[in-house]
Amino acid sequence: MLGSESCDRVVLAGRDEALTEVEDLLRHRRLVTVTGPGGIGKSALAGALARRPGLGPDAVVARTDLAPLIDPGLVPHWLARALGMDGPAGKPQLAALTEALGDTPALLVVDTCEHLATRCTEVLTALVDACPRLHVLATSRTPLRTPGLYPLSPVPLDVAAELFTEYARQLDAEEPPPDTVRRICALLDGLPLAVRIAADRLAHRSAADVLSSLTRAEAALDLPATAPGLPTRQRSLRDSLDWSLRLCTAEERLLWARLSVFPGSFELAQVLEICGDAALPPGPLVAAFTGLAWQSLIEPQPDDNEGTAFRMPRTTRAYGRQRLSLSGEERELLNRFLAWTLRAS
Amino acid sequence: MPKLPPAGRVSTVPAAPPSGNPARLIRGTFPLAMAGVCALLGRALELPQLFLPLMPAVAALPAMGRSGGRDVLGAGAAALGGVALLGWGARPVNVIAALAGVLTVTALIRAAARRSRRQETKLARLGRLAQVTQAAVLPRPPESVGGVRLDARYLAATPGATVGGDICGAERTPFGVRLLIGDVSGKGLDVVATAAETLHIWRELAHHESSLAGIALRMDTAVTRIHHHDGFVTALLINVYDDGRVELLSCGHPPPLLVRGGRASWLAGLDATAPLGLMEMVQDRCPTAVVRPAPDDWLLLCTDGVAECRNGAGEFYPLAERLTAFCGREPTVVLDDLEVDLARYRDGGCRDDAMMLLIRPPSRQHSG
Repeated sequence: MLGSESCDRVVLAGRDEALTEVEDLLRHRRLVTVTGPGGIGKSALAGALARRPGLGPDAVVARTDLAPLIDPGLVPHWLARALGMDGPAGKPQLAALTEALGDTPALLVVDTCEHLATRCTEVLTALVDACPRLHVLATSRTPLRTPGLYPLSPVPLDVAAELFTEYARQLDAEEPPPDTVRRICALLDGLPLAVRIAADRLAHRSAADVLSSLTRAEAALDLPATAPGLPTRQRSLRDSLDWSLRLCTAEERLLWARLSVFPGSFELAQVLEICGDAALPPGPLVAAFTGLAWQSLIEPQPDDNEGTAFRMPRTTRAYGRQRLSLSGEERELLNRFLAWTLRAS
Repeated sequence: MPKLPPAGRVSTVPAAPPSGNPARLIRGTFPLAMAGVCALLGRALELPQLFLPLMPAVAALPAMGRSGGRDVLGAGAAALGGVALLGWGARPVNVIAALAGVLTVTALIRAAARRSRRQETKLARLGRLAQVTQAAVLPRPPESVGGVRLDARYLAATPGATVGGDICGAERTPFGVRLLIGDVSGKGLDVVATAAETLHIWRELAHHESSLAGIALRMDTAVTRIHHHDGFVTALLINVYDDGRVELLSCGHPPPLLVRGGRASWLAGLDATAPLGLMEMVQDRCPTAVVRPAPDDWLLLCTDGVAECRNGAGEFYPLAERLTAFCGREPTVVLDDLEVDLARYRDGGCRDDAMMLLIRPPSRQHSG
């Protein structure tokens, strides 16, 4: 069993720059949200920052994961319990916590804010405003509407490959061929959680087998994560995407499914033409498109200079495609896509 | 078991009840009669030296009962009279010995009577103080709060106590009428402080926390902080809204009994979470249930001392059955009957603090 420091070293590979940047941002803004799609390593980054002695030895460091919380009214209570401070019973929790914290130096790490984004924004802003020495680091798939935002990108391909090889080493598996590893990581869009889940397969299978199984993106969705310590919503990529789906509006869910017909990048104009119809008129479609981008479910095409092209990560697309197929719209959407391609060529 | 007085009214224990006149008369004249009888017998039988030594005993008679200073002096006087009657013609040494005996005994008894009187007064004062303190520490709910009518009964495990580890409260708040019934783990008077503290915190929170889950989480934090207690507190938190809905949150507490149409049954569908002080074990899960009582429904809240009461044979008290059997009368009478029945049932079985709180939601909810 590896110690947490050793685990950190693996999980945080390629994140040195991000760590420094977030720490700087946190020092200036006092309230920073690390955003990005599920499995990208937001919580690992936040956890590493919480262990840094940035605020001095007297600082209270507390961490809570809001994933199980449903009632937005209880956000202050969960924060108070994480901090181990309640404040006077004769006041509502937020006011009581503010009073209890006062100017105590503290770092509060709040994981998984996306499903309670509005309430988290209100509460965290109010706390940081009222407590001059409180620093809050939140992680969320949806950015909180606060000034300090830090979008976390997937790790570069060679770092992802190193991660994969390191996990393989921990499993005492045979050293996988570097070329296979790079191809596996490319198929997984460099998503650290996906890399970890895929590497777990090496306990029973060869790297070549893993690669061949991943060429069908759907197969990657249901690979079970066997590593201990992962939350329920990260036991497989499907669990992670299920969690994202729950946060989507009906229009966003529909557009997610329909966007899966695009094999590569797409622009809003094309999306309006192919995915828009009576069920998804232009207004709601644009809103849903923005929403998906906001939740990091689609991302700007990295090599696009104009910044108008977007893409959907491969496993996210596979998930959408399954939902499209289940909805019975797949054939219709494929026809539209083909017709558009023929016209465009 | 008397009905609990409502909060704010404290029944006082009267200090040393004044004894009736006949008793006092008998007590006052008894030494005189004994002295007379002894003197007459001594004279008649010509054996004064045999009866003289009995005179100090006559002087000591007031020590047998609760007597005042006057009774002691009266008995002493009677004994002296007896010595005078019997001493006529007796040997002087015997007379002197009897006189000295009577005077010494009278002096000692008088001192002892004074002392015991002082102690009685002190005890009575302490008794009154205990009553007032118990009522202040764990006040019983009033008969009605915001239209919700309440009836409470309490059987303490500690003899003579009216407080223990069971608590109940009722508050009219901006969020509706809030009710609490709870049970502090542990036994005896040690848990009273925790019970009082828990109730106090609940009352504060009830007025400021908008949700039952919020109250439960903060009470959980508070219970884990109470330094003289390392146990937990089971509790049932209730919010009666103005529109008639009743929201419940059980923290490891027995569910309430619903009395409808003369039949009592345990309220189903209430998913309990961990007791206060242990909620971390269930990741702070606070599931609540909402019911809408029909007109004339009652809810009976109780603690483990009732729900898990056993007789000498170890059989559980069939609460729902017994409550059904008593239904059909005034709630106060039903509760009285239930209390007597429960006290009889648990006699010989294991004893725990037992509390019952009968709730009758307001009837205005049914007008709309």
